[in-house]
Amino acid sequence: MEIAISIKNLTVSYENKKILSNIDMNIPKGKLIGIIGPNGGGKSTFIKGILNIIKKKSGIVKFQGKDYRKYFKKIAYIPQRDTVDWDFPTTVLDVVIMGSYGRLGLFKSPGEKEKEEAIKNLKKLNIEKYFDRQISQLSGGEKQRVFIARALMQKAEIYFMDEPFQGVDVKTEKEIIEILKKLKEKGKTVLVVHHNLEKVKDYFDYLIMINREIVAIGETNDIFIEKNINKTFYRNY
Amino acid sequence: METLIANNYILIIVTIGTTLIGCVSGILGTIITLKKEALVGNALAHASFPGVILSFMIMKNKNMELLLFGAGCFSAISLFIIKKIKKYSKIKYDSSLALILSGFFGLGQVLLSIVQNTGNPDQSGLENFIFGEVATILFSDIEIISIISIIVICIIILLRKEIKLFIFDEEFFKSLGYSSKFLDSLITILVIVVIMIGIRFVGVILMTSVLIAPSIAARQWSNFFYNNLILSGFFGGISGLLGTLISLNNPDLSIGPIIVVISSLIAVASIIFKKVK
Repeated sequence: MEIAISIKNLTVSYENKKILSNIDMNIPKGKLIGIIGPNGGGKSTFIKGILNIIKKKSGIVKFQGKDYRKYFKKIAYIPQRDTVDWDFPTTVLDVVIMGSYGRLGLFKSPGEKEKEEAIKNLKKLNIEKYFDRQISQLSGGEKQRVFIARALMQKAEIYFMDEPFQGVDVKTEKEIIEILKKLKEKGKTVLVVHHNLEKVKDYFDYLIMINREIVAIGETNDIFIEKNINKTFYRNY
Repeated sequence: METLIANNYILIIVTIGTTLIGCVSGILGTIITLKKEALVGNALAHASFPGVILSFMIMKNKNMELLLFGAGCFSAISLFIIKKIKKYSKIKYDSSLALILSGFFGLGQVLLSIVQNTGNPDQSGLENFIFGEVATILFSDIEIISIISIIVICIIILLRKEIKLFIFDEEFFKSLGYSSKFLDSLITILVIVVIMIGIRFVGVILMTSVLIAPSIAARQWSNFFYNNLILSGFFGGISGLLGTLISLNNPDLSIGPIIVVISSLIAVASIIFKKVK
């Protein structure tokens, strides 16, 4: 099993409260991985800690053996939808082009090439007709499609998505999961934060179950069993 | 004939100064309004006032650089206190801003009264920092203002892509390996610097308006961030230019309030136009 991310002794805290302590794990490459657990269980904090968005208290995280600093151009991250200012003066196409900013680096501006690429990605998500819309005029599902298109624009090896199915219509959810499965077939690693128990077996082939600690990690078929589900979702703190 | 040339000369340098300040304030104002920190800008502007007076009390002269240095220091101190209150107290953010704003401005007034009672003839003119004034402006002042304005505008142009991403989607910005702490501090420093060069013209009370009004107008006309920056700079510059021309033709009217009235009119007209459209 090839390893995409190795985590040693990771401790993350948020506003001085320890959320997750001493996590050790290896996350395999080329899987569609669900990170599941109850609200407040630390799922988002977990990926933000991995991605250096929240400062780690301790721990070492390596991406295919490399430090975050040397690897971040191959990582795509989709934050939760409500962390973004949707009234910001920007359009659908513009947001998707933002996916090229990391690769372009400081000072360089995107050009025609990036624009064409962005339109291609909008087509994959079936929202190319909205390319010049101000982003607040989109529905929840359309907003999420824009985010996915931006992530595709990053041409990453590892994808992190925080609750991509939250407040999204059924059709969009289906189309997004198809895209994620295609990414997996191409050997990419996709991690999806998810809090709904339904469809876990259909969507993910690998699971990380979290509730203030890692309850279980492994193939969905092996660990998505009643004992672990109870421990993850119905344990009182 | 000579006086006409002299008058023209003053007119030209003053106009260049106010136009540039209007322009740079407008551009920077777009950033702080979109960051939802307009009120912070207001607090920092008011808080700079005691810095001006204290600087005069210590140095005993009205050297412009020293007065403005004092202003910048006090803006920075007020920001430090605002952040500490936010971190360690349960007081709501807007309450702490209001407290700092009025507290510092009050302190400035007290210091001004003390200075005025000393009978030091040099102190006359310090009160001009409240509403702004241009009659005593010097060519060297305009030089400094121009250089600073151009530097600020260049920094924003160079970092426009990063600033856009930082304001729109901070977590994504961080995931690209950028430091939001660094960019946030840089923007704050730019705001303080622009306040320092602006209060001379429009005064500490009306400074926010110069920052905010053009950006509100610009937002009504465009859904693109860069166009917002450009339009806001344009509206700010025009307000500065028109305000100066009106004020120079009507010496009874102070320049700061006129600039503010013009930029507010542009903002209100833009909002109405957008609604009607």
